Amino acid sequence: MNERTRRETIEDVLNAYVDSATESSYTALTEWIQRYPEYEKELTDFTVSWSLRETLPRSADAKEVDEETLVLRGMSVVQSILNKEEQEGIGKRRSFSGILGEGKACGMSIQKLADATELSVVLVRKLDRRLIRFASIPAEAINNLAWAVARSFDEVADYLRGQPTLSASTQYKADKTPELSEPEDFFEAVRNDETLPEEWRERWLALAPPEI
Amino acid sequence: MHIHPLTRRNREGAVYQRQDVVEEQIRFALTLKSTDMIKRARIRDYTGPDYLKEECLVYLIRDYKRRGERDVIEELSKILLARCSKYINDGLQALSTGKGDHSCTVDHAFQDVVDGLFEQIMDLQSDRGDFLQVRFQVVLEKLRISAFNRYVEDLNRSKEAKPWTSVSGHERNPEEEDKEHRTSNAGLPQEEGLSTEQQALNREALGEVLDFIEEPQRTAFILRHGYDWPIETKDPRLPSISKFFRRTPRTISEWLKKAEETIEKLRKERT
Repeated sequence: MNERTRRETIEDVLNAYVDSATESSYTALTEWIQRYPEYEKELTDFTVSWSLRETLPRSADAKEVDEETLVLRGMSVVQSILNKEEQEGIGKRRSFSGILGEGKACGMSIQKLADATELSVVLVRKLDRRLIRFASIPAEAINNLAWAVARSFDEVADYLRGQPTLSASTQYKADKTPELSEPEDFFEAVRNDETLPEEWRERWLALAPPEI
Repeated sequence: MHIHPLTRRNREGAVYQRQDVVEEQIRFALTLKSTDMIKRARIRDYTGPDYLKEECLVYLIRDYKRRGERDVIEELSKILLARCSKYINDGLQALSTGKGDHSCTVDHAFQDVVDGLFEQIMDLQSDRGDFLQVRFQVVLEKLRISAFNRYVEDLNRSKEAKPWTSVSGHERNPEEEDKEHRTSNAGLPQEEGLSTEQQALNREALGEVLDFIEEPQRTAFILRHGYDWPIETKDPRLPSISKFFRRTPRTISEWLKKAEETIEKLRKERT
C-alpha cells in the first residue's frame, strides 16, 4: 500500500472511530485497536490528543476572535486552494485520455466509474471505445461521465464524437485490421445489457425518444 | 434532477450513503437559480424547515466547482465557514495553555483544519471527501483533533508548570516504591471502574489544576484520572500509559505521584 493510500485509509478509520464514540474513551480505543491492529499507533496517538483537547483548559489570556475575522482567515485558505488549482490549470491543458484513462487518473476503477455514472461496466467500456452512436447518447449520460472523471461536459462530448476504436488488448489473426460494425444505439445497448441494474435501466430508458 | 452518487466505500466495503433529508435538500437546491440557492443557504436556524444541512452545502460547492462558477463557490464556502469557524476555533483553544503567547499556534491549527476540510471538498478528482456528505460534523471533529495532535507536541515542549514555591521534592522510601508503584490515588478517589459520568466530573475538576503540572506528567495524569487508562496491562495488545510513553510502569507511577503531590499541596494552600 503506498503512503497516499494508507493515509486515506487511516482517515476513513478515524472518521468511523469518531463517529462511533461520542467522546474519547479507553474502552472505545481498545475495541478499535482490536478491529484495526495495523493502526494501533495512529488510533492511540489520536485518542490521547482527543483526551487532551477535551480536558485542557483554555488559557485565561486566550484572545476572543469574532466570527467575521475567523471567516476571513478561513476564506484566505479557500482562495489559496482555488488559486493554486487555477494556476496549475487542472484538467484544462491536459489532453483527454479516454473515459477509462481519465477515470484511472482520478483513481477510479472501471467498476467505480460504472457505479458513479449509473451505467454498467459493459456500457462504460463501449462508451470508452466509442462504440455507441454519439447522437443517441443522452446529455445526462455525458454529464454523469464528466462529473465522474472531473472533466467538462464539452471535453467528454468531443471525445465521444470520435471514431470507434478497437480494444487495445484484442489480438487478430486476419491479414488486415478488421472493420468495426456500426456504432450501437445507446438505448438499444441499455435494453440489451443484462448486467445493468433494473433500476438504472428504467431510468435511462425513460429518457429514450418515443418510438415512431 | 440527477444527484451524483457517492462512490467511496467504508472498511466493510459498503458505499457511503447520504441521509434521505440531504438527498432531498440537494435535489431541491439544484432546481433553484444560484442567487436563490445562496439566499437559502444563508439561513442559520438549523431547527427550521428551510435550513440546508452542511452535507448538502458540500455537494453544492462540488457541483458548482464542476461548472466553474467561482463566485458561487466562494459564497457557499463563506457560508459554510460562518457555520463552523467558531466551532473549529473554540475546540483548539486548549492549545493556548502554557507559558507564552500561543495565539499563533491556535491560528495555525485553525488554518490547518480549514485547509484539510476544503482540500477534500474541492478535490473533484477523488472521492476522499465523500464522508463529508454523510456526517460532516464527524469529519470536522476528526480534523480538529488531528490538528490538535500536530501542534500539541510543540505546546508540551514549551509547557512549564506555573511556579509553585511551596512545592518540595518528595523523599521516597525505596521500600514503599515496590508496594505502591501501581497505585496513584493520593487525595483522589479510587479510579478503577468509574462510570463515564464520574470520569467527566473528574475531568472538570482537573481542569483548574492542570496548569500547575508540567509535561509529560500532565498527560499521564489526564489519561489516568480523566479517562481511566491503566498504567500497565498484562495483555500486550492493549494500550496503557506505560506503553504510550515507552516508559516503565515505575516511572509512570512516579510521574503520577509527583502530579498528585502538587495537587495536594495546591488544595491545602487553598483551604
